[in-house]
Amino acid sequence: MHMADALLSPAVGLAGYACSAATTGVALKKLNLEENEKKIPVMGVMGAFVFSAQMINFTIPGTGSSGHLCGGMLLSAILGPYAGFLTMIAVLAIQCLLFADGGILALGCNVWNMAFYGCFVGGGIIWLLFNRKHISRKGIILASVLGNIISLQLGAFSVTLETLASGITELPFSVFLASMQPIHLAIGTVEGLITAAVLLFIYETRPEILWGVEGKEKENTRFSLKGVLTILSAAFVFIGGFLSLFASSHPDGLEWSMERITGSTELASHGLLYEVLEKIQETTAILPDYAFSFSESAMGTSFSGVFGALVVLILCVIFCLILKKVKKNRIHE
Amino acid sequence: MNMKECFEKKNPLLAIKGLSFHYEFQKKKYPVLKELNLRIEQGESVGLIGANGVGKSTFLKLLVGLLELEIGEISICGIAVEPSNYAKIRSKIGYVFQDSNHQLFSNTVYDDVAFGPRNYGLSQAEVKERTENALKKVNILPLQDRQIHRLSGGEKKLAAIATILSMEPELILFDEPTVALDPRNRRNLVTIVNDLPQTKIIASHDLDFIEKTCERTILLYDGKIIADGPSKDILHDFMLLENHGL
Amino acid sequence: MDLESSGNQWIHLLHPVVKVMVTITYILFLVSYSKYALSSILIMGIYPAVMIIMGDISLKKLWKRLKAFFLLAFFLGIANPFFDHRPIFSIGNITITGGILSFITLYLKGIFAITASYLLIISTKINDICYAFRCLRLPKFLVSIFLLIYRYLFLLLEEAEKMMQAYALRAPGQKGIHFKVWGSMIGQMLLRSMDLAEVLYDSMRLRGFHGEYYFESKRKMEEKDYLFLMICLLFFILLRFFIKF
Repeated sequence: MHMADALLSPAVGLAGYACSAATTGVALKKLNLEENEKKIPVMGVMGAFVFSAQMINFTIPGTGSSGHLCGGMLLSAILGPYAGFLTMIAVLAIQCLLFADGGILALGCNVWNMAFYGCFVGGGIIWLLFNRKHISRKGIILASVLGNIISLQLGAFSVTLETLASGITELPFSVFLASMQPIHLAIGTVEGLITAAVLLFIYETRPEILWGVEGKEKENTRFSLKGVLTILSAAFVFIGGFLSLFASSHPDGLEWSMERITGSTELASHGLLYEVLEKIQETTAILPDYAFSFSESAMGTSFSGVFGALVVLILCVIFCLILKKVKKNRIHE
Repeated sequence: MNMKECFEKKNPLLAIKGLSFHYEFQKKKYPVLKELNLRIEQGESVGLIGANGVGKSTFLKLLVGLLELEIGEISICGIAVEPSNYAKIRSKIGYVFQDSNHQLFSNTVYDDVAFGPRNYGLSQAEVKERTENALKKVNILPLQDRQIHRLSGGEKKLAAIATILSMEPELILFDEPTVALDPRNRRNLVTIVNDLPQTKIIASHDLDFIEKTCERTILLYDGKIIADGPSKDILHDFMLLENHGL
Repeated sequence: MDLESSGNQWIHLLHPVVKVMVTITYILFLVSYSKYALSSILIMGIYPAVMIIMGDISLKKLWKRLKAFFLLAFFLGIANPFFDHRPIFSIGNITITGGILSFITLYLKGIFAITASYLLIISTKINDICYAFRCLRLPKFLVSIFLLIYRYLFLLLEEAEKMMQAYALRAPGQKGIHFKVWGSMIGQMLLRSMDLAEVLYDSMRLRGFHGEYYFESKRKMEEKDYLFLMICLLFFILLRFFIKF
C-alpha cells in the first residue's frame, strides 16, 4: 500500500504531511518521552522487529499464495497506540529513505494510510473495544482480525481518495474503489489472522507485555476518550479536506452522494479549508485542473513541444558527458 | 570522591557486606546469592567463575545498580550503591556486556564510543579526545567511521570495550568476554585486558582466559563464595572445580 | 546501500540539508505539472540526468536497485489510455490520445521521482540524513528511534533469515510458514526482541542515558552548498513558471 510520489499532487502530499505531523505532535506530547526514556530503546527494537518480521512469508491455508505481517496493529497492541504510531513513522521513513519503498513526498500520506489507521483505529479503538475490561483469547482474535480489516479498508479508501484528489488517474471513482477495497479485505483478513496468532502466543507466554494488561504502567499512555475524540476529529478534518478537494473537481458525482449521506451539499470543512486550498491553487497552480478545455494550446502540449523538450534533454546529457570527458582528460594530463 | 581520596581514606575499591539476593517468580522466592562478603582493592584483576546460573551476572548487575539491592551493602570507593548514587557509581564502573550487540546501539563506531562522554556533558573537543584515546587503546582507531553492523565479532568486542574506556572508569566488569571469539581474537583480547590499568572483574567460563588475565579468582557455588585466592591455586585444583560444577 | 553512500565524490560531500531540500523541492515541482505536461516533465529529467553523469553514479547499480520500481511505475497510469480517448496530436498516422499522453507523463514522473530519491539515498550516509532531520527541526526522539531501528534492523533481519532457513531445512517443499506455527515463530522473535530492548536500555543507562540521544553538530553550510542549492532552485522555478515548451 506504499504510495509513490507520482501518484500525488503537491497539495495532497503536503496535506498528508500536515495531518501526520499534527498527529505526531499529539503522540509525542502524550508519550512524554523526556520522562519515559525507557520506551525509546523498546520502540527502536520493536520497529526493527516489525520490519524484519515483514520479510517472513506465511502460507495461507488452502491457497498457494502467501501473506505477511502488517505492523501497526501489532505494535499498538504491545506498545500502545501512541508509541506504536511513532515507531511506525520511523519504520515507514526507513522504508522510504533506505529502500525507496514509497515516495518521499508521499511519506506523509503513507504514514496516514498505514500507521494512523493501524495504530489508532485498529490498535486503539478496536483493541480497546474487545479488551477493555479484561483480555481474553476471544477478544484478542476478534480485535486483531477486525482491527486489521477495518484499518486496511480505511487505508485503501484513503489511497483511493488521495489519488483521485491528485487528479492522476482517469479511473472512475467507483471502478477504483471496487478494485481497491476487496483486495484489501483479503489482505486484511490474512494479516489479521497472523497478528492474532502472534498476540495469542504472547498472551499465553508473557501476557504482561500486552498493552492494557493490569500491572503494566498505564497512566502515562492512557488512551483517554478525549484523546480518541481529538484524533477522530483530526481524521474527519483530513477526510473532509479530501472530500472537499475532490468535490471541487467533481461537483456532480461526489456532491450528489454527499447529499444523500449528510442531507446537504455543504461539508463542515468546506468553508475555510476549501478557500485556503483554492488560494494555494490559484497562486501556485499546483493543482492539476480538471476543467481543462481540451484544445491543444490550453493543454500546453503539442508534438513540437514534446520533441523540443526531448532534444533539450538529450543535448544536456551530451554536454555533461563531454564536460566530464574533458575534466577526466585534464586530470590524466 | 576521586581515586586519590579513596586511597587516603583507606577505602577498598569495592566492599561487599552480607549481600543476599533472590528472584521472585510466581510468588515463589528463588535465592541466588547468599550472604556474600568481599573486598577488592584498587588495581586488582579478579576472575569470577562458577557454573551456569550460579549468579555471576546477577552479581555484576547488582554492582552497577541494574538490579536493586535488597539485603546487604555494596560500596564502591566508599560510595554506597543505591538509587540516589547510581549516576556517580556508573561513571566509575564500566560494564562490558556478553553480547556486544547490546552494547553497540549507535550507527557508527565513533558515535557509540562517544555516547557515554556526550551524556556526561563534556565539550566536543573533550569527547573527541576521549573517544580517540579509547579507540587507540584497543587498536581500532581506523574503524571509527565504520557502521557497526559491518564489524566482525572480534571487532565488535573491541568496540564494546572502547565504549567503556571512553568513560574512563575505575572498575571494569566483563561478562563472558571471550564468548564467540576466535582463538586469535581471544589472544588479542588477553593482551588488551592485561594492558588496562583499571581494576577488573571478569566473569567467565573460560578458565584459561581467567588464568592469563587475573591473579585472583573467586569461585561461586550455590550462591556462596566457595574459594577465593590466587588463580594458580584455584584453577589447578581440579577436584575443587569438579565438585562445584566446572 | 550504505557502503556506496560514504564515497568521496562532490555529491557525497554536499551538505545533507541541501541535498534533502533539493530532492524534496524537485519532487514537489515534478509532481506539480499537469498530467499532460510531457514536454516540461522531459525537461525536468535534466536534473537526475546531470546528477547521474556528474556524480559518477553507476547506472548498472541504479538499474539493479530500481528496476522493480520502474516496472511498478508502469502501472501508475496504465488505466488512462482506456478512459481518455481525446486526440491531442498525431505523428503520421498514429494519433496520440490524452490517455496515452498522460500515461507517458505519469510514467516519467514516477521514474524521475524515484531516481531523485535514489540519488539522495546513494549519496548520503544515514547519520547525515539524521543530522539533516535535526537541522530541519524534526523531533529528536523520532530521529533517535529512526537510528535505533536502522541499527537493529540488520541484526533482526539476519535472525529472521536464519529462522526461515532453519524452518525450510526441516520442512522441505513449503512455500512459507505453515499457519500452525505462525504465532509461535513470530511470537518467539517478538519476545526475544523485547529482551533485547531491555538489555539495550540497561547498557544505555549505564552510560548515562537519560532520554537524550546526542547528535554532534557536524558542519556549517559552505559556499558550494549554497551555490548548488541556488542553481537547483533557480532551475526548477524558471522551468515551472517562466519557460514553456
